[in-house]
Parts: sequence; C-alpha cells; structure tokens
Amino acid sequence: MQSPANTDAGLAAAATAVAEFTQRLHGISSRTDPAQVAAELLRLNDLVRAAAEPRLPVTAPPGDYLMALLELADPFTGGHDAA
Amino acid sequence: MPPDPDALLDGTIEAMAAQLRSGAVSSEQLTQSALARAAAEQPRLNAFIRMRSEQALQEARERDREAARGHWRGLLHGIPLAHKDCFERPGEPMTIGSAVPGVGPGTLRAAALQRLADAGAVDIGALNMSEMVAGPTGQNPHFGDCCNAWDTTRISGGSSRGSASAVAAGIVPGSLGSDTGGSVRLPASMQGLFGLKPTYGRISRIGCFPRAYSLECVGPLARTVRDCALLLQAIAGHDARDSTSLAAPVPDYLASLAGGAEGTRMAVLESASTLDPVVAEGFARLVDVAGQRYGALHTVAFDDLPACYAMADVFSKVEAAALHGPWIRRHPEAYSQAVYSRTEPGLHVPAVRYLEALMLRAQVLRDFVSGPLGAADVLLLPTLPIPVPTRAEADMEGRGKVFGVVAALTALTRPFSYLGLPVLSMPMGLDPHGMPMGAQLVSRPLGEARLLAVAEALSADIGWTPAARHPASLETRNPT
Repeated sequence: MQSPANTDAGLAAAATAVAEFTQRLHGISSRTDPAQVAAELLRLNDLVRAAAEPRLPVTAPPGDYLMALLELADPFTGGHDAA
Repeated sequence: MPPDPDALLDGTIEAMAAQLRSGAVSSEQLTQSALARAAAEQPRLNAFIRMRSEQALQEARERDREAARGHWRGLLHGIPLAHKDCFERPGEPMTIGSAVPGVGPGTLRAAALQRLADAGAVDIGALNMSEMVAGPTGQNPHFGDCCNAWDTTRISGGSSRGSASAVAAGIVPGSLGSDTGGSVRLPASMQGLFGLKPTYGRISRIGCFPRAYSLECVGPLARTVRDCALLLQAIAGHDARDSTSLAAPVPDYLASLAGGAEGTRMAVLESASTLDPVVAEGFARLVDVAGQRYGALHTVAFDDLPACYAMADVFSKVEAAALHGPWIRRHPEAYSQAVYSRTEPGLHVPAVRYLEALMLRAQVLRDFVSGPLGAADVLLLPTLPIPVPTRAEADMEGRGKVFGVVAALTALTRPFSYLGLPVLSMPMGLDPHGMPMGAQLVSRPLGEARLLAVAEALSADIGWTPAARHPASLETRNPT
C-alpha cells in the first residue's frame, strides 16, 4: 500500500515523531536511527491496515480466537484414544 | 557386559529407558555422563548458562530409589534433559539470557518442567538462549554466542539455541525451548533436529518467560520423532492456571506414529520468499519423496501470508515494548543493541493496528484453514529460505543490521505464529557444506499427532539417520 506517509517527506515526518516520542511518551532514550524505526513502523502499519481493511468491521471479541482453535481442530489421533 | 552410559547418550530416549528399566544402567550413571559431556562440550558449544549438577544427581538418585521400589513413572523415568533458561525453577536463578539485574530467581517450577519431572525426567541445567527470548541467530553478547554442533563457525539458530546445540551434540536426548516466531523451529532446522511449535495453548506457559504472550509456545527439540513425541506427551494438556491453555484431549502421540498418517493429503505452501537454490533443490527432493507416499503434491497459496508475518511482528514488538519498557528505562545499558533496536518500533505502533491484528486473528485463521488447509491436511515448506549462515554473516549487533537479519531468517516461520497452528520442523537433507536443512510441516490446530506421524514416515523415506554431533562421533564418522 503506497500512502502519503511513504514518501520521503512522510518518512522524515515519521522519523521526527519517533525521535520526539520515544523520550516524551515512553521515557526511553533511543539507540536506533529514527529513520530506520520509522521505516519499520510504517511498513508494519501499512501491511496490517491493508490486511484489516477488507475484513473490518469485526465485532467478535479477541477471545474468539481460542475458541476457533478448538473448533477447527484436526480430529486425527491415529486411531488411538486420548492418553 | 553393562552398557556404557556415555554411549547411550548418543541414542534415543527409548533405548536409554530400556537399559534403565532392566537395571543395566542407573539414572545416576546416565546423569553423570550427561553432566560430563556438558562440561566437555561447553568450551566448544557454550550451550549451558548454568549446570544443576548437584540437584540433577539428587533427582537421579531419587529416580533410582523409586525404580528399586518398583515405582516406574514411564519412558522418561531417569532420563537426563536440559531446558532453555526462560523456564522458572523455584529459588534458582533464571537469566532469560539477559544482563538485567533482578530478573530471577524463579518463584515456582514452570508447568512444563513440572510435568517432565512428574514423568521422571532429570533436569541437568539451564541452557543458553538469545537475550530476552529475542533473536534467531544464537548470538548473545552477555553470555557469549552458542555454537552450532555441526560447524561451530555457523550460527546455532535461536532463540532456543542452547537447546538445539545440547541435543544435537548428544549431551541430552531432548530439550524444551519456546517459539514466538521460529525459536524452536529455526535452531532445530539448523542443527538437524525435529523441533515442534505446538498449537497455541496446547502446552501450559505457566512459568515460561515470554517474548510475546500472544504468540509464545513451549515446544520440544529432539534428534528423533519418537523422542519428540515422548516429550510432547509428557507436557501437553490443559492447565487451569493458564488462561490461554486449551481444554482439549491429548492423543497418544507415540501410538499415533504407526501408519504414517496414511491417507493424509499434502500440499506445498507457496511463499513470497525467494529460496536459495540449494534449499529449493533440497526441498524439491523432499516434495518428490512425499509425493511417492501421499500422492503428488499440488501447490497452494495464501495471499495474506505476508500480512500474517506483519501481524505477528506487531504482536511481538508491541508486547515486548510493554514488557521491557520498565527494564529499559531503569537499565538501558543492560540491553544489547539488537534487542533494544527490535523493541523500539513497538513503542510507536498505533494501538488500533495492534487491536486490528488481535480482532482479526480468528477470522484469518478460519480463512487459512478453509483455504490452504481445506485442500490438504498437511502443508509443506522449508523452515529457512537460505543455508545456515556463518556467525559473521548473521551478526545482528552491527548498527542497523538487526531488522534485515531477523526478517531473512524468520520469513517462513513467523506467519504460523500469528495463526497459532502447530508446525514441526524436520530435517530434509544436507547442503553442499554438509549443514542440515529443514522443512516445516503445518497442520490444522491440534494436529500434532498427524505431524509427528508424517515426519516419522518421511524421515525414514529420505533415509535421515539421527546422530549426535560431538567430537568423538564426528571423528568416527568423518575420517577425512
């Protein structure tokens, strides 16, 4: 997904924000190039947005995931009952 | 003539168990041999952070007394094992591979370790690992790199690096690691082992320090499928103390191996990652062998696999940032550059992205099961897209290098951590440097019995011979 944030200007703005917020919001001194953190952040953000958008809105709570694991279980036991 | 306990360590758990049961060898003897091997191999492999020599021998003697009274706990009775140093042991140090002060000691015995103890196993020590359970290479600037038992110039894989090296070298026949994005599967692949990331929630995580609690799975590493199955049998099952533990019955994994899960439908899962030609060739050979047993494999795809990687990455970074924030503020100097850098992006991911990844998880899982796993019972793909790198090639501590190295190594493993599916990495052959290559078998949730059965059959079909990789055995096998 190509968004305005992925332009050089967008990346620069994100890097500036990262540099400011690491200390201001989290009290942590950055040890990483803000541009690299920003690039990683934007990459993740855009991939998740692209995957989420067609599936939203989702009203089921996150706990449904554990129920789905049980519901979708492979029934194979090799013919042997539970130990 | 009584068997040599040291030689027994090169074999399987069942072979050791037979000798223990017959009284030909004692647990104390076997444990002493394992401890001696561990000490002898430590300069070469750096697999251990801490040995539990005194405690292990006490446990072994108690197992021997029980056996003398006719109390036999099962096939793991008296067997020496060792585990990644992210599992709590009460009153004992737990480093999590970290230099952060005050991380331990443990306040309880991790559930998985307790279940192994209940099954009679002996715990000989805490194994080396990547710092804070983060890192696929085996590097650790605080405790030193762990080395690959096959070739010490190459990475051991991580984060369960000591587990893989100790098992591959024949110090112990099995070990527990933990897997958030590949941390059991990658070291298993790089050291010729069977490594299982079970279904999320199959094994209790009480007392296991996480990289990311939404992804973490405790899993066994072993030189054979049967040993892997034995370890899984002991530790699988519901734990009411773990809110993510699945209340699902546990099959008889060992008995399920017979028959090779005949009738299983298999397919190759296409991935966007480019495979090194050496890996592609090795994988093609495995696909051919699998086709001969299970019928020709077709190829399936899942367009959202890169998105699964990204969502797992979001979980990993955000949850790690929340977990480590207080420690990073108080002890920044205790963190390596690599772990620090990997944690920083997690501070900035918008909360709504994290929640989207969380809310969509059930739906994406259903899509994957009805899609690729609708057409096949087991999917096949390589574990690592490249041959095992050298330690110099995979150095994560260099400024700016960590993101590229991690992405390259975890490209094929991390998506299944988001899905929470069971994945078994099995050896598929050797590369031209003589290093092992691995393949992943992926199934529906709670499909561990099928995965183990298929791996047992396929490893026999490809002629994989498990062997401990220590100097004495290497001299015998490689006279050149």
